[in-house]
Formats: sequence, C-alpha cells, structure tokens
Amino acid sequence: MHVKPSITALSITFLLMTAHVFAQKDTHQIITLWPEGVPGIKANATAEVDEEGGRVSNIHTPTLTVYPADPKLANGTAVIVCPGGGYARLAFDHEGIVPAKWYNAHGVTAFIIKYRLKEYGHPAPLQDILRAIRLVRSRAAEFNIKADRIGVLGFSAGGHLAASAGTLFDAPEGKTGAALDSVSARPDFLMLLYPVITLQKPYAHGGSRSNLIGLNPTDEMVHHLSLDDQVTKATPPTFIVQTEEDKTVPVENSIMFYQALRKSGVMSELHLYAKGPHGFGMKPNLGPTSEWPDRLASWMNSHGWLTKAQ
Amino acid sequence: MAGPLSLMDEFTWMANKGAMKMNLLKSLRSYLASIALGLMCLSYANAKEGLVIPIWPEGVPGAHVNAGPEKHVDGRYYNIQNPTLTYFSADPDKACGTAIIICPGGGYVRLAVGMDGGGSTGWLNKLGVSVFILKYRLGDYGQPAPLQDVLRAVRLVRSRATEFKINPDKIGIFGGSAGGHLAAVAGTMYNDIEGKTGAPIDIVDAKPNFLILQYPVITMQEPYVHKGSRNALLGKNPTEEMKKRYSAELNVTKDTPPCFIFSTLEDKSVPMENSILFYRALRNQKVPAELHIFERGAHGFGFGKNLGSTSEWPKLCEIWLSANGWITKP
Repeated sequence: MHVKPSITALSITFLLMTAHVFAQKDTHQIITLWPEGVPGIKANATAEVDEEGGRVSNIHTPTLTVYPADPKLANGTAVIVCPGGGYARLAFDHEGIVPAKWYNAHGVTAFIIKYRLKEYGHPAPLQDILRAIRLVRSRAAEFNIKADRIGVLGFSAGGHLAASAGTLFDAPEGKTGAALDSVSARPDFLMLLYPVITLQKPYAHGGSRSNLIGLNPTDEMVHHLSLDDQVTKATPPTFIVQTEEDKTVPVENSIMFYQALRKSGVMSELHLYAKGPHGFGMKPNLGPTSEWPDRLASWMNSHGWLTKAQ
Repeated sequence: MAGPLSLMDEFTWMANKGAMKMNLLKSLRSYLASIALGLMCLSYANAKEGLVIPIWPEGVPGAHVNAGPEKHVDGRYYNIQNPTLTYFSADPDKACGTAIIICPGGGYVRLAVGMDGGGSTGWLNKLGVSVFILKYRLGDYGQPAPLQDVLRAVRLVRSRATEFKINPDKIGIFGGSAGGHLAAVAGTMYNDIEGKTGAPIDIVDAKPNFLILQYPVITMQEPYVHKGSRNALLGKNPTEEMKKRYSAELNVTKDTPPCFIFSTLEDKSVPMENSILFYRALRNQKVPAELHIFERGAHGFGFGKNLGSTSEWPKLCEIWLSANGWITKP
C-alpha cells in the first residue's frame, strides 16, 4: 500500500518526461508531397543530408512539416514556409522552424516545405511548391484552415519559389496528371524576405540561377523564371522586406517585383531597411530591421488574415 | 578663419539681443509684431501657438513689391511673402536635443498644413524633439525662393542651437509632398550658391542631419513628375537643365543625409515611384535609408487613422529616429 503509489507516481513522472522529450524532438506531422511517387525522381537518389546550422540538402523526397496553430488561437489562416539556400540547401531552422513558430503565435498554421534543389533544377521546385498548395488547400478542413487563406512565405531563393507560386501557379509544368491538378495552386498572399526575383543580369543571384536553370539557360527560360516579368493582376497581394546592406541578393530584386505588382494593380507593401546582411531571418538586434515581423503582422491584420475566419 | 568666426559671433549676439528684447517686452505682445529692430524680429503669440521667427530679419531676398497680404483660408496658407519658422519646444522632461524643421506640402501653390504642423508638432514634442514649422515662399516666387528659405531656416536654427537648447548636429527636416521635395532639395543642394544671399549667416552649414519624407515629390522629369509642383516651382516651360537641377534623385551624393521615406500605392497625386527614385539614388551612394510603401491612404493622409498598416508609420519613424540616436527609445 505504501510502495505502490510511489511507483505509480514514478512511472507517471517517467512517462511525462518521455513525452516532454518526445515533444521537444519532433511531434510534427510530416506529409509526403508526392505519395504516388516523386515525379522524375533520380534513380540514384540518396538520403537527405543534415548540414551545419540546421540546414538540409540533397532533397529527393519533398515534404511538408506541419506546425499547427493552437486550436484556441487558430484563425483559419495557413502559410507554407519556403526556407532559402540558393537552391542548393534549405535553411530549415532559422528560415523554417523560427517563422513557423512565429505564425503559430499569431494563430496561423504553418507548413514548412522541403523542396527539391540543384540535384533537379527547374521545374522540380515549382512542381513541389504548387503541389504543396494544392495539397494543403484540398485538405483544408482536416488542418482546420480556410481554403482561401493560404499564403506562401519565402526567404531568398525560397522567396523566388514563393514568387514563382504567385505568378506561375497555372504553369503546365507544375502539373503531373494527378487528380490534385484540378485544385487551384494560386496562393492567396505572398510574403517575400530578401527574395531572389530576377534571373537576368545585372541583379540576378548567380548561384540561385545556375542551380535552378544551369549555366547556359535559354533567354526564354530566363524570362520565364524572372518573376518580375511574370506578374499579372492575378498575382496575389504581396509583402516584401529587404535591406540596403544585402550584398548577396541586391535590393533591386525587391524593387523590381514591387514595381511589377504596382503596374498590375496588385495591393502590396514594401519595406526596405538599412541594416542587416543577407539571411537575417528573424534575428533580433538589427535595429529597425528586426522589427519587420511586426510589419508583417500589421499587414496580415489589415487584410483580415489574422482575424478568426467565420 | 577669424573673419567668419567673428561674423558668426556677431550673428549669435544679434540673435541673443533679439531674444533679450523679447523677454523685456513680453507683456507688450501686441506691440512686438511691429518692432523693427533691423536685427532680429521676433513675435511671440502664445506658448500653444508657438514662437514665430521671421527668417529674413534683414529683408526677404527678392521680395515682391505690392505683393498683397498673405492669405489664410480654411487652414491653408497662400501668397507667402514673409517666410517664418514657428517654434514649438520639446517637452522639457523629454527633450533630447533634436530639432525638426517641418516643410508642409501643398504643391508649391499653398501650404496645406496649418502652423500647428497638422499633428506632427504634438507627436514630435512628446518624443522630445523641438519643432520649427517653415512657412516658405511658393509659386508666386518660384525657384530659388523656396530653396533660399529652407537653407536659411536650417542655418538659423543651427546658429541659435544654444538658445533653442538643441544639438546643432541633430537637425532634421520632415517634409510631405512638395514639402518633401523641398526637404530633399535641402538634403542635396545645401551648398548651393543660390541658397546664399551674402548674409553673415551664410557661413553656417545648411546641411540637414536627416530627412523624413512623406509621399514626397522628388523628380521634375517625366513620367513621374507632379506637374502642379513643377509648374509652380519651375514655370510652365522649364528647360531640361532646370528640370534636372531640381530633380532631387539626380543630386544625391554620399554626403546626402540618412533618409526615412514613406508613401502609399493608393496615392493618385504623387506616384510612389518618386520615393523609389530617391531611394535608389541613396542606395547607389550607400546613404543609409529606409523606404516603406504601404497600400492604403490617399495623397496627404498625414496622420490618418484607420488606414490599416499605413497608420502605423509614426511608430516606424520613431524606431528609426531612436535607432539613429535622434530620440531616446520611445
């Protein structure tokens, strides 16, 4: 009588500890984007590689990692997060998990995409992001989100991918003949952080360009994936942040996309700060730049995306 | 070296003398406006309305004869003949030594903001910033009168920094619309010969330390020019040379002061491309700058509420001012 409760207590404590460790490690649902088989998968596909600083590379099996909003906070908005990394790797930690948690704190369910990279080149990343949008939209009820409140956030090359989704959502190469193709792949809004936009000189980011379309692309291909050339009035509202100090992706990329949006009459917001090197993500202590998430919340709020959906 | 310094001292002395007289005669306010010291003329209305300081005590350069009186209709000012600064000191417990000269907009044909600064005075004073609202000459004069006025304003405030309890290295200009053009002109043409009149105060540096530009007019060239402002400033048929001279984006150098620029997509009067043109020029010269283009808000929204994210611009501006050490953390 005396011993039994304490053993029970111990077991409970143990169970709780295990659950805690488990929760910290990974309780996040991972969804395979192509359950029917990855289109054009390489025969010699090897395992994903974990790199320094929470980065991953060598993606052959694209996935979404789900960060659901707390049901009490959830407002029905979803965001697919595209980490950057020059189409060579993914800054999964600071441009994936960190913003995903930020969205969760604002009642938004986040899906971090692992998309295919230089091992494939175009159109694999585009196929992956468009499939991701179709998948999330088609399963909106299951994720407790609204099918017309799906945004895409992208950093750097991930910003290029997000902007590709916002402009090339109907592109034939984004379809594979699957039943899901009939679902709209148009994001409802875009959020671009220090994005790669143009693949044309002088403002192209060389690495992203060669990883995506090789060293000798046709003019046609360059134009097709220079997203400032692809904006139409159907491009969704866009929020853009970039810094003057960025030495990797010139701030002109943001300006070019913004001017194209303006020309097509798409409501959009542009915030260009002074300080901050490329890849600052959500880092603090960069002066006014570190305040950009507040701008994002304010913008999303003024569009109603942080208000609980009816 | 001795020459300019003594001239400078003389000017400061003249200013102090003016201030002393003002104190002596404080009770005789109604007389003050008519006092011609020939040195420095100050008229003191009351604390709430600010201290009005004529910027050309020696006489307005190129003043028109028989120009008629200044007009004040529905809070707007027309036919400015005697440029002034209206001074509102910072909240004493928060004063941080920064001064901001405000250039109201109005397409160089009027000053659309009253001499209370349309809300900016209260906002800035509470942040510890002293405010000087510039009443500058308009289309009745055309260039270079507005340039002369704004540069004289900077020189005057800087030369009397002690009196205003401000730091002469912390003088910014905040301009909206055409006032934004004038601010940008001050930030790029501060050494311009036409801004000088041969007065002793010409030796004082006229360069502002920072600029805040709200939906500014920047270019005088097609396709983004605001025609009304250009007609008023440069006349109906300006030469290419004159258009270039007053296109602020063409005059940016690495010495142009840091800028905070904001405008909206919805602005139908002054295309936001003006802001982008100036930002790109700053960026090419590596001048630290911030550009925010919001969605909602028609031209002249000022401190408009209920414009979604746009209405938060004062907060962004405070963060920028604070990050640069011009105000203490709000």
